[in-house]
Amino acid sequence: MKKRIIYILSIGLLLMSACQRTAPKGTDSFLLEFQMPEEFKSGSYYASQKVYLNGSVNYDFTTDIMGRVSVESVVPGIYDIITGMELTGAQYKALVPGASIEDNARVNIGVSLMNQRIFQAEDLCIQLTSAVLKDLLISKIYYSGTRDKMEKTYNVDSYVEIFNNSDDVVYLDGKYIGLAESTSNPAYYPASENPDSIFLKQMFRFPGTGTDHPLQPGGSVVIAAKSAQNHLENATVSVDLSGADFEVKAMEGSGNPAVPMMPIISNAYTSMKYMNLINGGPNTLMIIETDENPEEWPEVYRKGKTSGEMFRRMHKKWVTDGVECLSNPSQTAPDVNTKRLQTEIDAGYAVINSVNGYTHESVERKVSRKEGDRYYLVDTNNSSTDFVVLTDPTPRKYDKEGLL
Amino acid sequence: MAQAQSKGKAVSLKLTVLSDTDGQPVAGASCLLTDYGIYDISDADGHLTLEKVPVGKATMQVQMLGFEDFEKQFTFRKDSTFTIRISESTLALEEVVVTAKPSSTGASTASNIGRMAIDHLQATSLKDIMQLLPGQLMTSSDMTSEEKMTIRTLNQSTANNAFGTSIMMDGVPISDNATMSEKAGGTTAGGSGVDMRQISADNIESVEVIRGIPSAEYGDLTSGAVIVNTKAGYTPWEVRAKVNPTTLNASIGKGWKISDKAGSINVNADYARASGDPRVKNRSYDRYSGGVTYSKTIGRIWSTTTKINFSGILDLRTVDPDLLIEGTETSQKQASLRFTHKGRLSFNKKFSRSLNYAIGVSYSANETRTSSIVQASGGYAVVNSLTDGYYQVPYVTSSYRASGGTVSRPFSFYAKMGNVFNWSTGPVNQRFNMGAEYRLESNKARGFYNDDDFMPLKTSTNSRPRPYYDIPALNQVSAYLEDNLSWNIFDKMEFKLQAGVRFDMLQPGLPEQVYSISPRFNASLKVAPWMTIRGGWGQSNKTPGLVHLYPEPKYSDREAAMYLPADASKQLVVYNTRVTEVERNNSLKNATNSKTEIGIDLNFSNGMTASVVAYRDYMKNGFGNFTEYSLYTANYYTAAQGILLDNQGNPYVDWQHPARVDTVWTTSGRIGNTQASLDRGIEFDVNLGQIKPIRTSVIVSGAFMETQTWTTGPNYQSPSGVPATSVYAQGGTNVSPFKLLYPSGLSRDINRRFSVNMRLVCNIPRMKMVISLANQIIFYQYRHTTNQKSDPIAWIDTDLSYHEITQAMLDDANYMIKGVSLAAQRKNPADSNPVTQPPIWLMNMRLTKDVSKNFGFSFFVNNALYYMPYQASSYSGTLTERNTGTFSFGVEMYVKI
Repeated sequence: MKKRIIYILSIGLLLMSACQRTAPKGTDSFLLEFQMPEEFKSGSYYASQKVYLNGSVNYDFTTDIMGRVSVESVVPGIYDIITGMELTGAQYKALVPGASIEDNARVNIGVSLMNQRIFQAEDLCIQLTSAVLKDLLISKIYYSGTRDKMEKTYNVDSYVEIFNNSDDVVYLDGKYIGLAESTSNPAYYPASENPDSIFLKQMFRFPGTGTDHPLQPGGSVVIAAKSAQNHLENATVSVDLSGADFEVKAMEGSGNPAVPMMPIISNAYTSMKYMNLINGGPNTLMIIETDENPEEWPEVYRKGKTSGEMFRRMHKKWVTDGVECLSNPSQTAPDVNTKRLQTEIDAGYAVINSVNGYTHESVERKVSRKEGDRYYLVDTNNSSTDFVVLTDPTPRKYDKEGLL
Repeated sequence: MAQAQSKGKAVSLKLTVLSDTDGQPVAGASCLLTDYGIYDISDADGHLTLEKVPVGKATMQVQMLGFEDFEKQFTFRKDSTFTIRISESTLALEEVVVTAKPSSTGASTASNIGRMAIDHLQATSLKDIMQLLPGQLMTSSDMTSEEKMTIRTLNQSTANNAFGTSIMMDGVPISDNATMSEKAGGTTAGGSGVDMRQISADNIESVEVIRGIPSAEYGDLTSGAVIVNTKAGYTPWEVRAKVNPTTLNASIGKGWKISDKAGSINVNADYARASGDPRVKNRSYDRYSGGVTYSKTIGRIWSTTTKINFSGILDLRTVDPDLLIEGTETSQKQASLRFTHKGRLSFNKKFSRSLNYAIGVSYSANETRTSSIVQASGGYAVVNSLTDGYYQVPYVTSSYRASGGTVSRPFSFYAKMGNVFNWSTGPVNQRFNMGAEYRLESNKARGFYNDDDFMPLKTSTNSRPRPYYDIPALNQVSAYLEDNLSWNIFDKMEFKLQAGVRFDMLQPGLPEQVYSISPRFNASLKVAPWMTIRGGWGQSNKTPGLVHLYPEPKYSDREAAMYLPADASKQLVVYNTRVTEVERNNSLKNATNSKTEIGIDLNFSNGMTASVVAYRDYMKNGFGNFTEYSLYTANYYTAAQGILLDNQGNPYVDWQHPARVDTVWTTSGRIGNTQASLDRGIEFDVNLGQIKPIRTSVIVSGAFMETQTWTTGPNYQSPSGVPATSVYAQGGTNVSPFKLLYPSGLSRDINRRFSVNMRLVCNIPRMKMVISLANQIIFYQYRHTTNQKSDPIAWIDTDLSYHEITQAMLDDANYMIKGVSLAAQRKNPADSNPVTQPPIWLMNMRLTKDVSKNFGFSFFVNNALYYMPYQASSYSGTLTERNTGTFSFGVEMYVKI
């Protein structure tokens, strides 16, 4: 997955080699040429976009169809050159063949060139960079469970954490968490056979009507998958979920009354009143944003069956972040053929070391950098590199050595 | 009186029974004319007399412990005196039988297995012996799990076949009717057949397995009967010890003849210890058994055998030191005492040639103790209420060590009286066999218990204690009448007909009273001296056991409030309990098996024999679960509605204002006649006789078998596609808006197998040695579960009203029942794939040698060539190792003095 851009963009490459030098002419009449990021197919131009030159005097220009700005005259000085446009994932893919990106993701194309010295009329060739804009990320998935104080298996301490990686407040209201079907060998609806669809066994909806559940930049919410209690009372290595933000449960007011319910709005297992995380995996989780009503999406049986549980078929375009956690069969390596998520959503996978779980292994997203108290998490849409597996599950904690 | 035998004349026969080995008279040998039921026992000088024998052909059987059976057909025309020589059982005999022999008594298919075959096999328990039957696979016995006996079936998933196999030991059945299912961690399942491990092989003299239509004399069975005769009378001191990687077994036995008047006494003791896989140190099975048999003949006409047997079993599963976290320890102890007395009175009167009777009493004290760590899984409500209502219950969050057990005391009493007489008219002789039986079986005991009901052994509704005290005893009365007709049509042809009927009634006078009438016919026609054609049809009935008639009440526990704030002292967990009892008058019937068979037996003068039989066993009403619904409402209370806080912040339930009211479906634990099975196949047994130059006999037996099983009870299912946000889905389990009724029995389990066992038996009398090579080839193995398409035929509303679903409704794609699409309930599954296995063979080798008159040994190697190939089934393509666990070897030594 990717990060919100602009700042990183400013450190981006600035290639000028492709431009021709002209004789110095003062600060009159020079050319700013914006080149599309390298991955774009040739013939794509940064056309009709606003470009800002901010210095002692502020100017704005619009690029021509070739992505160029002819500057008539500016006051010599030090300027920030700022420009940017947004594409949808679908548009981006049209321009970048083979791109791996969710359809409704947002991609920012632009540049922020700081402290550019403009004292003579010199043509500038400016390389644009692109970045996928994402605000919510799945940052921690703890599904392996642990052993209780009597060494018995303990699996009600699982949780999922969602992180706001953007610089804006994000409202969770109405967003969904989805859990893909996990029927075992052979995978019943693998991505390899379903290039556009994902089959969900459960969907959960964040409550609220629009602005009830704001999430600050760098903030996170913890969803107790089964029980929002302090599990450290029962198991030595576990987590305290008594302060979780949401609890998946039968009804509002049951379980821990202080923790609001995260309602299940679609469920292959009608009587199951918790998040069906499997201790040994596979667990494929997604953040879903859609303006459709997911309850109207079609439901299908297991492939070849006409009875039993039914899975909700969803177009992949509604996924804004997805993490594939494969199971780790004892005799073979994790089988990538069982992946439920298409490459553009998750090019890799995370996996815990244990086969059956109960080893308090937690799948956690790595930290990219830290600014003050604020953490930015790694997002390259590849869980193999974005995540690490740690054996000290700790909700809301990002200053762990293993994450750096 | 003699003239009263209708037109046929009667003769009197005087016989002397001598040992073929030393010419000495054999005392205590029984001589029976099987056609008439006339018999006598030889005295000290080997003399015996058979009186009032009708003129004509009759088969004479002479039997004596330690001697080979003598059987021959004679034609009696006048009073005569002759001598019968019988051979001592020893490997020095020209021909020894170490395989199962097709039985020649009656017209039904049966196999006889004698002592020599048991020795050669080195059997530890009765189960080991069964592999000699056609179609049965060779097994290596590991006595660490229960061993049940099935007849002519490939079905392993339902218990009805094993439950319907009657084990008769010394004329008295060993019953499984009063066995209850073990809940405390043991392995006993009630109503699933007798555990054969408890029957020691060393004390068995002979076994007969009736696979066809049994005589009307045998009842309370569906699959067949296993008739076990244990040793009685004089035997030498005999000490046996055998050892193989999984089992140790030692036994000692001796029979003394006190005097002609005082009879004889035979004692035996046996100890076996099995540990299963020798690498696994935490499982063991110990069996101690012993018995005393007293035989006495009173006044030459009344022979009696009285036995007292004891057996003690300790089945232990302890903590595996490498698996500390499991922490489960189970011990199962069983002590049984068994008394049997049987006798035969030879009145030799017109309407009572001989009167036989048997009485058996057995009592067993079984105790299972389990201690294990119960997993709380983060939170578990201890619901132990035994009556309906809402209960505030403890909520356990940490796993705990719990203990409990089961006490079971199965008791049985059996009494039988039978009478045999015969009636001859010219070439037709009829032997009438009639009798009555009474059985009483009970199990009054503490049953399943937890040491602490607040720390139960099970975290499910199964955690409730189950005392057996109020379970009624089983009473069964039976009567039978049978005519055995034999008709010498011409000089060479003989027609035999066995026509019988049996009446069984269980629990007379009680609401659950059930009876059945079982007609049985067997007929055979000896077309030529070397060929007999036979066939039969009959029904047999198995009465339900205690587990079927008196199932445990069903406890439905439903969460009613789960208020779990972080402060544990303020938590409130409420459950609703609903108890559903099964009606006593639930019209459970006997399971009826209809058996049909037709076969041909060939006996050539060169010693070659062959028999082929085709059979069909159809049981449409075996015991199985029966779904019946009742509905009730259950409330749910939440912090948002229904749970209020008092001044101290303690929660309490405002009963009148639930957050949700669910209409809940619940079933009872009812057992019905819902399990159907069809077993059919062809069995063959060919003895090619001895190839003299190499002294080797070739015996080929095998069977093509097919088993189909399906259920016939009402097939209810919950509708699919109930929206997750609807009120029905919110309620969780058992709250579906309605139930759908689908046609039953469309899905069938089909198993087929074709296996052949070729045994080469090489017998060298001069070396007193027998070597046998058993080659088993499974040519064909097939398994398929059919998965037909089916449409619901009705739906049941929450008021239990029945609504038929018509074709028009099904055709309407938009038809809704209570907001749920009917079209989504039509099932059109992809048929599952049949799986066949490639052929596989297995070779076992055995050797028995008498080193001297007093000492001998046996040796065996199973899977002698260590053949364990990797093969793929027709379906998966995954290579799996076959014949695993078949390799083993062992040795047995015996001393006879």
